[in-house]
Amino acid sequence: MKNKLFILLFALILILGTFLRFWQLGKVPDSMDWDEVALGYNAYSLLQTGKDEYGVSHPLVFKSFGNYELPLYFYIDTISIKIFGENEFATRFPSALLGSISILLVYLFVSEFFYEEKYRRTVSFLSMLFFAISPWSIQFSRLAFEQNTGMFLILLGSWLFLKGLRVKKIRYLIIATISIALSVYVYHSAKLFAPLFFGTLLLYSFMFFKKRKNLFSIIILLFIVCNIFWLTDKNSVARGKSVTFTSHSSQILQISTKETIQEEASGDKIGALLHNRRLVFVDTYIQNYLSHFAPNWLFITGDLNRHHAPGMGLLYLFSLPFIVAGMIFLTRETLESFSKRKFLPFVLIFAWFFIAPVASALAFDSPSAERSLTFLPTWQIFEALGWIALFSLVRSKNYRRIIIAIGAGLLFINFIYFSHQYFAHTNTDFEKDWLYGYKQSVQFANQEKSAGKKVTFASDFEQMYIYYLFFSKYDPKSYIASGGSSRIWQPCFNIDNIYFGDCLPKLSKGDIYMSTKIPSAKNMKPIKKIYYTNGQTAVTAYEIL
Amino acid sequence: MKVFDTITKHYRVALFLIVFLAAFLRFYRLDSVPPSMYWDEVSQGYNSYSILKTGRDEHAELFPLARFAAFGDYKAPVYIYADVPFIAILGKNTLAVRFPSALFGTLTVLAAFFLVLELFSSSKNKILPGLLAAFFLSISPWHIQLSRAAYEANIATFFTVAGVFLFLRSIRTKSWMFVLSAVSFVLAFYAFNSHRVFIPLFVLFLFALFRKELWTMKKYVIVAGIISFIVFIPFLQYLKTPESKLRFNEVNIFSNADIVKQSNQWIAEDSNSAAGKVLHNRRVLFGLLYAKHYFDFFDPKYLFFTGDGNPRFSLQDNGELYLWELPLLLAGVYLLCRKRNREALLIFGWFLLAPVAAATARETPHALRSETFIPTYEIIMASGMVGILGGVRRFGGKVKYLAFVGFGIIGIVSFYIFVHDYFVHYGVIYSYQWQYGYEQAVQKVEKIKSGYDEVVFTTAYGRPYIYVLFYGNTAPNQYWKDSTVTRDVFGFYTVSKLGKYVFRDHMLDSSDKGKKVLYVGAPNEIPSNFKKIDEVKFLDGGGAFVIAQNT
Repeated sequence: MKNKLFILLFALILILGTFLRFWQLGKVPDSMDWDEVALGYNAYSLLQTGKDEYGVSHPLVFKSFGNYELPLYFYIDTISIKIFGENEFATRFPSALLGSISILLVYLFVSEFFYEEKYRRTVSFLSMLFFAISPWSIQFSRLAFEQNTGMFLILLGSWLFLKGLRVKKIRYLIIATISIALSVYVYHSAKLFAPLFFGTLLLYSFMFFKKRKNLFSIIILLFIVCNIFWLTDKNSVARGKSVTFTSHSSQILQISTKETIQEEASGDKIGALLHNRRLVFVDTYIQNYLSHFAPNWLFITGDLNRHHAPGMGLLYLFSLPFIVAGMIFLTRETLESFSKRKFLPFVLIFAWFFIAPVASALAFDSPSAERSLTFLPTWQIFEALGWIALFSLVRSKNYRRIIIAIGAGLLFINFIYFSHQYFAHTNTDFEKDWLYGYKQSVQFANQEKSAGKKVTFASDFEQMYIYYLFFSKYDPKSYIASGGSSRIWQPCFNIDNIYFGDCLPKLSKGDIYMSTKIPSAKNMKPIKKIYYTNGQTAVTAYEIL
Repeated sequence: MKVFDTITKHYRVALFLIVFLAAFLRFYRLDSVPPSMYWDEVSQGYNSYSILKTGRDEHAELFPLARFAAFGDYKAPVYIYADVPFIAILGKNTLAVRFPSALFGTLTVLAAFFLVLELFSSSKNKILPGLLAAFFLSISPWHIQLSRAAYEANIATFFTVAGVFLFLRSIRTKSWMFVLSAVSFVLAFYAFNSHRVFIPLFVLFLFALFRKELWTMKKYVIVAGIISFIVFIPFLQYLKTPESKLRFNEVNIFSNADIVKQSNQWIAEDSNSAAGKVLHNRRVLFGLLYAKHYFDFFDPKYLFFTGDGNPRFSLQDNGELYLWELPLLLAGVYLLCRKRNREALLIFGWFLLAPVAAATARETPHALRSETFIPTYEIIMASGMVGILGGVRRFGGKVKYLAFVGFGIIGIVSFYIFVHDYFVHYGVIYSYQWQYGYEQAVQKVEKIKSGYDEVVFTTAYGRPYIYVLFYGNTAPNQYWKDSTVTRDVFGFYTVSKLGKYVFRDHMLDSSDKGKKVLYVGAPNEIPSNFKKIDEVKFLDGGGAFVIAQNT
């Protein structure tokens, strides 16, 4: 490729990727889920008071709804909220920004690891392109979900680490170590991923450190020190346990329980051993792990609606043949590098790829596009390698042109389809999943409140108080002063005249009751409805008669 | 590894042992595990019996060729005819009905060995992959389960494997075996519904792969073509009838109204713009839906952990393949890809075509309809294993022995778990799914029915008449004379009366007044004021049938 053309394309891709992450940010999806809102409000509270919603000063773990969130994204968010004010755009801004920077990092990382000069630029360029338009990355870059920041840090760390090894500069290695260790403070699955991945990096650079034992100790010590803060915090560990499948075991053990009963009746000791629950758990873990490679999840359906565009999976369907080709190509390179006893970075990509779902597989709801986001950018690198593999397979120039035309054409169609589905249909198709109506309810409640009425949000709203705080920009100082969020565990509590939970007895004639369901009480009359685009009712406000 | 050299040297012994193992796993307690015969098995058995005694099927049609009407589901004919000699020899019982499936299942293991030999005929080591493929097939949970019930697909699988073997053999030796191969493919085509789509596509693919060789043996191709055409005539006539599409229309995904609704909704959301109409064309959505059903067959959960959702095809907590086979599978895919020869292409083509027919149906993944996969998985794994052995040979150290022992232990334990669960637990937990109790209930009733004017038999478990025919003493021509058969809107046959038997969904009826009636119903159907005479229980202890009389 000519240099000027290359620079032009390079810039275009960066712009395209950034555009896809920022265009209509905060408007698509047009509502936020409760974790995003909690992030936004806590960051706002930090900014105003230096405390979280519970009044804890500069916490290391945010209690939030009792799910004990890790702190890094909260603190990053304070900056964008300071600049753009407390709103959806600002809350999601850091994620979109880091997602956009990651596009560049993918290029840098791949050109660091791809050894063959001839194809280096092409592979790096293609990886970057596929990452820039990746539905998976775009989805999570446009949400205030912490995982995207974690992915960014891992990617940054890997690039700096490889660069440090190549140019033999210690400062790169130090920053890389800190960056990877920091990801542990972003989201829970990193607690497993980051040490495993870091260990792999060290193994991979074994030859380098063999001659530099002091540096090796420093780096390991640094990594451990960075991790100490969360290891000593028990709340941070508790969250991990609550989502694992062992806490939801009755269904998993259904068949083996039946079998065990039968063994006990017949006195078969070996049989009883086979249906031991530990064996079943191992089986379940592997099943969850492998579920992250199910073609339907990857290419057709995805998992939760909040994790993908309507009618789309996480990767482009037409990427499939290239990904497979890339994997085979990479396997060949890896095996050959093994037989030459030379550890090429290809091993690293496979290690990254196979470590990615290790933590996610522990959860009861596997596979999860969110928890396994660290897969990125390995799928895109495979795809880029797949193009190279096909290229080296086809000698004739004309055939190559045909392959490029067909492959690129199909991918382009797939890209258009995704962009359309995402930007045109997310808000209409998935508005229920994104809890459309909560923000509108808050606005309505504030109108009524200023008219001097009491408003109650029924308990069928999920974590409504945080939406109320966020969308009315409720002053954190006075919120904390009035007791903060430790009250949310009560069956009914209030913030001024706004009530949350089972508060019907506290209401009198003329007050407002809001619910997403049809209430059983008879003494009410609907006065306002908030509708989904398909005409169904999202929320109804009632006046007490 | 020396062990494998020894095995290769004495491959006849090894092959005999493998086939023996396969036969044992397919015939041992064939009549009692699975515990009883489900509808389709009994229906096939009775039609075979009817053919044997009268030359006509249950609907009194003389030697049906293209299909058997049976319940109105139009069964493929091969199994029913294949079963006739076994019914003649072994009698009208479970063993005889299942015998062909177990037999052809065992033969498939043998055929797979010869197929691999033929496939890798140009390479110097072809015995070991052949033995390994046969071995993997002999212990395959997927194939064992389908070989132990009267599944038509299992015969179709044998003829497919045999057909490919004969095809390759005839190409290599330029011989008349080509005609036999054609006959084998036609039989597979006639044996199971999925193969009616799969076989034509697959044969086309084979022709494309071997077009050059086929051109040099035109005369065999022409003879085979003529013979195949003649054999196809009955089917072509059948194809013209609406009933041939009945089963397909009933199960296919392309009649899914939700897709059309979704398409319309998206088009409307795009304010009916032209671009929206192109992007959200229902054909695009049906294409994606088909891809989803196709990919279902490659879902790791289905393949390695739970198997088919239907308990008649799987233990529910055991996959269609063993988990330890996964690394072999990946190695096999990689090595075959690297070979980049026509044989590898043949295997991959077969593998990718295998679910093409089954993916058009609503219930996916479906182990039975996709038995076309067999034995591609086994061949790929065998190639993988051979590759790993070759690779390991070059790297020294005792670690490799340790690795092999470890791998062997995992393999043996998971094989033991499967066999244990299958023979000990499976029948007990899922006897309901196998319509357990019909046989016992009918036999009990047959003994005492002479004392009653009428026997009312519940339809709660579906299609009771076929069990009364199979396990009772009604002769075929007596059945034709003395029964009431109707067809419902979906084209299914319903038998409401057969001799003394009345089949209905309720027990009490005003027409019973003044008669002495014997009632056979599910426990919750029998009114408490009836006099209970006997009962039949499912194997897990739940109530299946209560036999009672009105007082």
